[in-house]
Amino acid sequence: MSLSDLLAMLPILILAFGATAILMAGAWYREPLPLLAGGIVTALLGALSAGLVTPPVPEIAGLFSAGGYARFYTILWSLLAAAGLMTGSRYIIEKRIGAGEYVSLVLYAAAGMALLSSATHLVGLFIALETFTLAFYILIASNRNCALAAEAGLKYLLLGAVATGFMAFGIALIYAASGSLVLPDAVMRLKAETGELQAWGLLGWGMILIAVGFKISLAPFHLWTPDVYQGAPAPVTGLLATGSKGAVVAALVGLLAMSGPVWNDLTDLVWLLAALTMLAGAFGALGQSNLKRLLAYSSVTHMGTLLVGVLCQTSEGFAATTFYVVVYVVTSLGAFAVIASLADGRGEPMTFDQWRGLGYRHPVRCGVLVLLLLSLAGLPATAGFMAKFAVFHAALQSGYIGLLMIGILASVISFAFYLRVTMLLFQPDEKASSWHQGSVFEHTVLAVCSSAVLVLGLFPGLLFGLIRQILP
Amino acid sequence: MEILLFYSVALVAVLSGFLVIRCQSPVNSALGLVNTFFCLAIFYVMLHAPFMAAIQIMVYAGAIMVLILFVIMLLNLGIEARKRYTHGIVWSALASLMVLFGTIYFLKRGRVTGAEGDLTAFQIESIGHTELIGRSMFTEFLLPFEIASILLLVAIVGAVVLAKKEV
Amino acid sequence: MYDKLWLIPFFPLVGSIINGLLGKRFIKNEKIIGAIGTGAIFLSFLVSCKFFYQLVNDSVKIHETVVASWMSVGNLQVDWGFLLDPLSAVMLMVVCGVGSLIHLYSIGYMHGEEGFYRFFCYMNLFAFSMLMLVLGNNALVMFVGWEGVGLCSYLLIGYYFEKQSAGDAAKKAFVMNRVGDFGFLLGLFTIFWTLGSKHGVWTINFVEISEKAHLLSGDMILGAGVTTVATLCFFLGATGKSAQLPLFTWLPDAMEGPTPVSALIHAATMVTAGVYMIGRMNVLFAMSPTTMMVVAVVGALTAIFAATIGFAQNDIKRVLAYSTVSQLGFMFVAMGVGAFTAGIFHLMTHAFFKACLFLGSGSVIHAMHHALHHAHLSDDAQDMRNMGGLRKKMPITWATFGISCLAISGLPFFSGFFSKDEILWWTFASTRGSKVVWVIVVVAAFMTAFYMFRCLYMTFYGEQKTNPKAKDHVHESPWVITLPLVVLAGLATVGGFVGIPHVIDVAHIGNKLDQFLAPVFHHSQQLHNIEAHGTASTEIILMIFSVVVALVGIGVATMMYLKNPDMPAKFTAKFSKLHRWVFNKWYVDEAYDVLFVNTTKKLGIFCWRGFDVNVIDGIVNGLAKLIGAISTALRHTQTGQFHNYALTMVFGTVVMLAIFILN
Repeated sequence: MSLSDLLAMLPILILAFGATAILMAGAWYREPLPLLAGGIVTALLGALSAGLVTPPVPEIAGLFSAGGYARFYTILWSLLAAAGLMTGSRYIIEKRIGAGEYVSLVLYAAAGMALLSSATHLVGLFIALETFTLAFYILIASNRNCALAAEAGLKYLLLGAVATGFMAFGIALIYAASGSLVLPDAVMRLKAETGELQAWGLLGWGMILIAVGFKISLAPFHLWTPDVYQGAPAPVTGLLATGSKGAVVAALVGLLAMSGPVWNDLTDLVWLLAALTMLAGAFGALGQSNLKRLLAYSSVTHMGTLLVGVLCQTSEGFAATTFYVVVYVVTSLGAFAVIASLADGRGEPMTFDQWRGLGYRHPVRCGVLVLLLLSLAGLPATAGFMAKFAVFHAALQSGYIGLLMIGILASVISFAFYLRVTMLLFQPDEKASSWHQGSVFEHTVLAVCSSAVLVLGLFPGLLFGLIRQILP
Repeated sequence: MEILLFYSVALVAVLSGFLVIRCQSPVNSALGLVNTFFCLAIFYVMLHAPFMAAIQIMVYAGAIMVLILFVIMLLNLGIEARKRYTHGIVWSALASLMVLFGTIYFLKRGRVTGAEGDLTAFQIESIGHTELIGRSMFTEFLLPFEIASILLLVAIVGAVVLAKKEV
Repeated sequence: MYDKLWLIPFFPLVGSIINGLLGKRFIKNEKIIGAIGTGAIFLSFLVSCKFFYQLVNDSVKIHETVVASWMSVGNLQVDWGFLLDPLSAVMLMVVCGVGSLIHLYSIGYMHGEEGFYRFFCYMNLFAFSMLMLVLGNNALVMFVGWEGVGLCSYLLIGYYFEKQSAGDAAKKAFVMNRVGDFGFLLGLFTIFWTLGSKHGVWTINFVEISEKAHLLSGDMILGAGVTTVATLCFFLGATGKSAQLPLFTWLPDAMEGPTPVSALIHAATMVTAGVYMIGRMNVLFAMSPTTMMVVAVVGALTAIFAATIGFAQNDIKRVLAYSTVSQLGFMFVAMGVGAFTAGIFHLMTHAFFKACLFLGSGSVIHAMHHALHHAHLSDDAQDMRNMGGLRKKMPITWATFGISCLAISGLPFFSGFFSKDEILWWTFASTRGSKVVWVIVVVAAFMTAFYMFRCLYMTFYGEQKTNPKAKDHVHESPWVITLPLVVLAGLATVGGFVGIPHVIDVAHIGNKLDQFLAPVFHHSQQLHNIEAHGTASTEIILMIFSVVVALVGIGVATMMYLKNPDMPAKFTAKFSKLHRWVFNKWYVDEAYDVLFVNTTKKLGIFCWRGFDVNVIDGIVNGLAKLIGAISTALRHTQTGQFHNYALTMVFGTVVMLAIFILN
């Protein structure tokens, strides 16, 4: 570790040290707002340093990349952490959760996600993944007065442990097959061995895929998703649905983009996973009458679509996937932020009965929710449509026609449940009660998310241009 | 001889692992887990990693398990109503066996590279296993080591957050 | 010159945003909200007029402008681009012109409704989407509009949420439109992929597709020509949006929405999007005679099928709805036989007279509703059996409704006459035409005249059958409602003169519309040898024949619904000598009643109850049930027990291993 390594790690260091400092401060000073503000400033500083400081070395200690791709995601996850703190502000004050702990956990999670997205070494990958997953176990269960939250935290912990086992086993197999843990290297050696991935390496990748499948909830490893999303407090769900999934996909894309097409033997499996996931999400969501569970299934469908982009293994597919990740993060975060901003003493509005007619009580926020839902559904001219279109276009060029058809079918079905919520919001209902007015923080997040959805939908070229430059 | 030892210890490890989930009493489960850790320690010895074996016994079988047993006894957990899910065990066993045989069958088709690291058995003997681990941990793997410290910090924070009383 | 095209959709978008955001809390005043909504679309109309005039006097007829680059994915470049050519210009005039009138009308019609601002917000949003659909220079921008109009239609059908039937109707429209959208996307991807992967032309721009379409002529996919497969997919999209067999039943149900919505979306503009789309892609369609034949046959069957159902309806809006489906069938017949100009012509004239009819019916319903409400009665304000004799009470509505009935029946020199006649002539004489289709269409034309006059007589003539308590409260509607009626009736009368057929063009004005649209259609028509050939005398004979058919239809309706009720009584009293004759006449009528009316009524009821409700709804509901069943089955996996989840994960691993081993 030299000074230039440290300089290249500056954003991570800011996040981690900032988190530690706030944790310490929180031990003596219990006012939540200054701590929150400190956390938000730290996260923004992290994003700023990732954007402005050009790293002197391309790789940190042979474990993490410091290239444009890594910095891009460092910025994204830092901003996500800031947004997560903003949406969570009222929640921790009202539920009397230690602000120091909450803020530091979110920042640690952001650091872990940033590290994961830039991992070039299997050890780095593993440990970064575990760091933020651990933070999430705690964040999910942080409201100790809520039995559902505790249950959700426990479920995520236990199933996450199973996934971790698969991950470690997979890494071991890859190491055994290639004799290296450095990623492009490990794959190259595997290829040199037999020209293609040999059995051990293939199995190793399969096991890693299962662990990844759990983290980003691919069918049939997705069953935990609705339960955990429902139980976790909305600000945390917002982070869990976006960051923890996005970072894993980002790592996957980064690795594949670096090491060339290694998945040729895995194509069938990934194809099946993607198809199954898209359909399971779409069909699963139809029967739901709870918005958070519905969004959980929606995220399942989206992960299936993302996998299609990854499967293409072309630069176009990777660009489309990266774009999709950003759009999904912004949209999904916004949707959960709406739920969080409405939460009051009764908890969060969840069931459809609670949502009916809310459009008249809270027209602006429900309008934002409708916009975000339409973007998730992929209505043209929103960001969600562009993302879907880019992925499907990449799939078409790579010749995955069958997958494309399934993807379109899933989108068609998913339109039904998104519009159902839209209709519900604007049904006149005398019994609809008013919810919380929301804080300035929450409104800021909503404003940013909804404008991002519109801008990315109308001018996706801005982001696409950037992504093309940074893809490794 | 070594193979025989390996398989007998492995059998014990798997059986104890099975006991962990099958025992009616939590204390027995915990003891089964201790047993598994011991078996793993024996594997480390067989792999010429005595330091790892010692750590395994001291940290896991010693400290952590003692804590767990302590908690179990403090909470006075009795026999849990576990019988409800007996059919689950059958399915799980079946699935696990299928995974096991599938994996073995598949792995038989490939082979390991046999690539070796820079360190020879002679070097390990002469310099010492513990020193080598220390060196690589504080040079090559310093960064993961530090990240692991964050991980542990997060875990401690978690324990406090989830366990402390309302202030 | 044409770089300000974006202004046209821009105004309604702004109107929609203003009304949507500020309408409820800040503006509140109905007049201002209405003025903003109507003003926005009227501004679009003015701009459209300017461009239309410019285009007419321009020697180059096809103009593309790019507002901004939308995206470039790989080798595909998509812009926010607009295309102004004669086809989109005609559509612009129809959408903005008729749209402005209907917005104006809505101010009166929606007066006092709770969600007044919401209504105008949606209506403007609809206008914006429709204009994007019409103006888009590539399939994606068109798709933006395509989805947008679907969404607005869905929202507006379900405008009266509190009614269960409105919600159901919205759902039905939604499902059927999605089936259609699926087809549209499949067709688009097929063309895009084949052009790209086989010929290296990655484009979705309409002009480029039209230029490069000839490359596709030899390509095969799934054992059929690429153009055939793709155009059939597009046609599936069109059947969904334009309510053709078998996806038509959502349209009559869509009448649950407010009447201006029915007039604008479900008669004049959105439902014609399918016809417009075929016109836009006429080069592709012309390449596949198979698809053209399918289009013509489906159109003809829809035309006659919907017409028979129109017989059995007593709800005034439903009669008009089935009539719309039937008239859309006419347009598809025109597209199918290669008479693209005639199809667009009929689209235009239909927009005039059908919008007028719907608005007229709205005026009647409005008056009835107020009268019944005043008398505290809960009779059905839309049931024609409660009406009758409204001619005296609502003279303007009556006159405009009557004119539109004449137009839709195809009486000479009303607009419908020219467009319908052109369709009939092409169906008879085109190289892609068919005599069988012609016969079907002629019968449908006869039926159209019959049921439209039945509707007219039941509503405006005879004795007023309204409950006596409410009778005297029926009044003519205010000027915001009658003004659009008068303007539309005027257009329905003279609108046809832009397309005078050659044979009766004594003043040598020429078929202006045909000449105007030539740059869009003539190329493909010449290339694939699509033309109507026949002697002038044949054409005149056919023309006279179609007029006779329409007159017979009107005559029969007059006999049965106007003369019959009082004729026998009068004759018996005054002319006892003629009693026998009258008696016989009555017999004839009876026989006619038994033979014709009852059977067709039964047929109509059968088609409606049996086919529409049972078969088609059955399929739609069955599909919904199937999806619901899958969803429920999936929910059973969601036990909430984490060890079941873990087990599923392990089973997933087993499957993965199995795949590995099998490979």
